[in-house]
Amino acid sequence: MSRVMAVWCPDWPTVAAARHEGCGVLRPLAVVDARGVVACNAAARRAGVRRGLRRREAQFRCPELVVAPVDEGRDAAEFEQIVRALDAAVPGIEVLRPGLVVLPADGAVRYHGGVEATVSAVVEAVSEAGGDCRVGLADELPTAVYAARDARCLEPGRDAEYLAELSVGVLVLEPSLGDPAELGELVALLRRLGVHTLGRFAELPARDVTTRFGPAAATAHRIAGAVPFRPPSVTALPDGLEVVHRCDPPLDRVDTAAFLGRRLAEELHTALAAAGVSCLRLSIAAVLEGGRRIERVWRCSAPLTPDATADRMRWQLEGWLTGSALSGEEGGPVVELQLEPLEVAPAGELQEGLWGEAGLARARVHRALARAQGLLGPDAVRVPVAVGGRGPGDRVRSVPYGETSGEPPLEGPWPGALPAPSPSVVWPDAAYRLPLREGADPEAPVAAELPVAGGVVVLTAGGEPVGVGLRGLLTGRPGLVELGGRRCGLLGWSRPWPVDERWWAGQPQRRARIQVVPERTAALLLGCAVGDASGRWRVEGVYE
Amino acid sequence: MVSRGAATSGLRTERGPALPESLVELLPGGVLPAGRSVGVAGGAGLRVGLLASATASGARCAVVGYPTLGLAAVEEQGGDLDRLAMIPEPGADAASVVSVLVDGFDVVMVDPAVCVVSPSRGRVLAGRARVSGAVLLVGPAWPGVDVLLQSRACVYGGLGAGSGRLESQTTFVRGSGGSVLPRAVEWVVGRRSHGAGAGRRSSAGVRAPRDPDATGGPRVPHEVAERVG
Repeated sequence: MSRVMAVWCPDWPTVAAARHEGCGVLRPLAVVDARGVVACNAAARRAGVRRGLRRREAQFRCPELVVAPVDEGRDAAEFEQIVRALDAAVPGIEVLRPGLVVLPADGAVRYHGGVEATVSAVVEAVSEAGGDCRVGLADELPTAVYAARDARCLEPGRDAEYLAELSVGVLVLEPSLGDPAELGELVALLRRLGVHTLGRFAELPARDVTTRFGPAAATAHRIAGAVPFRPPSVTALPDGLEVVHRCDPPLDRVDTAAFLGRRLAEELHTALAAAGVSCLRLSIAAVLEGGRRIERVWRCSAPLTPDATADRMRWQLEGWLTGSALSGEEGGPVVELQLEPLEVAPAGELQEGLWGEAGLARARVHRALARAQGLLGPDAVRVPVAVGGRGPGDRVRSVPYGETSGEPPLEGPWPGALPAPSPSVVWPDAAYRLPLREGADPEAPVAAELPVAGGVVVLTAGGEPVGVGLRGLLTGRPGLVELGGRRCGLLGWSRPWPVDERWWAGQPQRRARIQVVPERTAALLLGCAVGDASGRWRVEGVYE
Repeated sequence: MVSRGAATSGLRTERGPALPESLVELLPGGVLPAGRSVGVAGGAGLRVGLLASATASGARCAVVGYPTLGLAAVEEQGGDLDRLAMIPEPGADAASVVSVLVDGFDVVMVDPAVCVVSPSRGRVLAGRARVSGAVLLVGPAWPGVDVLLQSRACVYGGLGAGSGRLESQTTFVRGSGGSVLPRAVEWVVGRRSHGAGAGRRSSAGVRAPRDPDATGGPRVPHEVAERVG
């Protein structure tokens, strides 16, 4: 059995950010995205900053906090130096994510002459590169990753014993072993069921876990039981999956590298899809101008998507290009790039969408919306949700992208609902202008653009205001409507639809709606409170 | 691999999001031309119809601006709200938001009130749209519009003097520019109750109350619709 050593650099995003910003590791620093703090260093934690806090709250708790944005490219580029130092000390390094590296321990332990010596060699190599790390050793990869958090080196065969004592909460700590959101739900569920340690979780029969909690839980269960981590169905590698690209002219800029990475990732995934497999371990190699070849292996718990591949490729190239610019040792522009899948699994259910492209389109949409959220904040990007209701403005609500609407859609028959067609403009705002034509002919040019947000006045032909009486009927026969100071004749109007809503919630709304068709402009949907005879109506919609 | 079905099946030569049924004669292939900028002038009804038909045909649409767009009408005309995203307030640099969205969506509708671009920026955006195959639905004043769809004022059916209710909305839509034959077609939303011709029926009559007396709706039986407007 081969043993695995994990090398974990705590709070790597903050270390990378501190290096990038040029401030020391002792100053409190937090890495934030639009939602809040993603990572913080020990100094910040002492001041009360925690993951998940809003940025403002974090700065309130610790006013001298240095705030850096999330940037995986920066993390990976800074981490490259650590990887390079480690690579010189121990062989066979695989990067799980920037900040976490695993390696097969047997060879290294034999070479250095013992676990202690290996660990000290690793720690020394990392600290020489300016990092701080903890090392864990275990039989299985996930166990080693958790052990690295405790800086524990386990005896052979003691994985299950060690894991049994851990809380189920550790499952969510490491994003490279599983989706934290999905596992977070699982952990909450397990706690409610009274399963508090990984040992108790591992005692559950594997079949029941799979059928009740789904594939993510099945993976977590394998982790908890310290059974071999890889899916047993790792298949033989089909031929012809490598993607090789010669760069002419040689690649020396990060942005072209990112662009190229995207293209190569797509090529690779087309080849993988054609072979019906997905990639779990990927080698990225570059040949430099002097003929030197550098190679890094990336390992993932979930099959790599084209995006994830492109990202890893970009990070790697950024690391090489900026790293070479910084240190000048492994220097030079890249003349050839090679992507080679090292470990594949049958694609099966992991394939994106039925026809590939559908899934890709969804991923593209997600990326675009996530970027827009990055530009504008999470609340600015909204998606519509049909919730049901009587008025045209009530039927569809919008929620921020990524959130689900709190209430389920109400199916009800909605008596008194406004029939189709619905207005194409709902609740016109202050910026909205209603065009008024010069004549009755639809071809006539626009004479004026009228604001209607402030409401309109409905009058009889004689100029008396028309409202809605307490019995829900119009108080007069409408003949005119006053729109932004101009009077238009009415060609048609409906009888009022009374709406008696929310009396059950203590905020009764007795209102009535009418549809009117003024001359020379678009039909309007008007609303006013029952019993209001002032003739003032609010414009709820415009049928234009 | 199955893809590019529309291109290889030989049934349709143009690719892109579908147009509303009665507008298919306006543009070649009956679709919004992928990768082009389409100016939309006139009332919001045309934009609602375009969104409804595009989402119904499977295209993913983003709307930048237009905070008052009638989404209920989009759903009513058969649109799929799951394929729609909105950025009602895109901030000061709306053009950069548009360029982000162009990468991910099949249709990006841009409100000229929130996003005014210079001709050079417009060219850049048009280039990105061309590369990614997205349709930019923009205002008529957008620089470099390939095709212009113009809707004129509506004619309403079903509503009389104190009787009936709005049942249909007829708009004349004219296409122009590029390889488009300049002609106008009639586009009807709602239950068509007058005239002849190819009208689009709304798929959503379902929420309409069957019995107006029971629901407090208009008590007068619907008259034979008359043309007003």
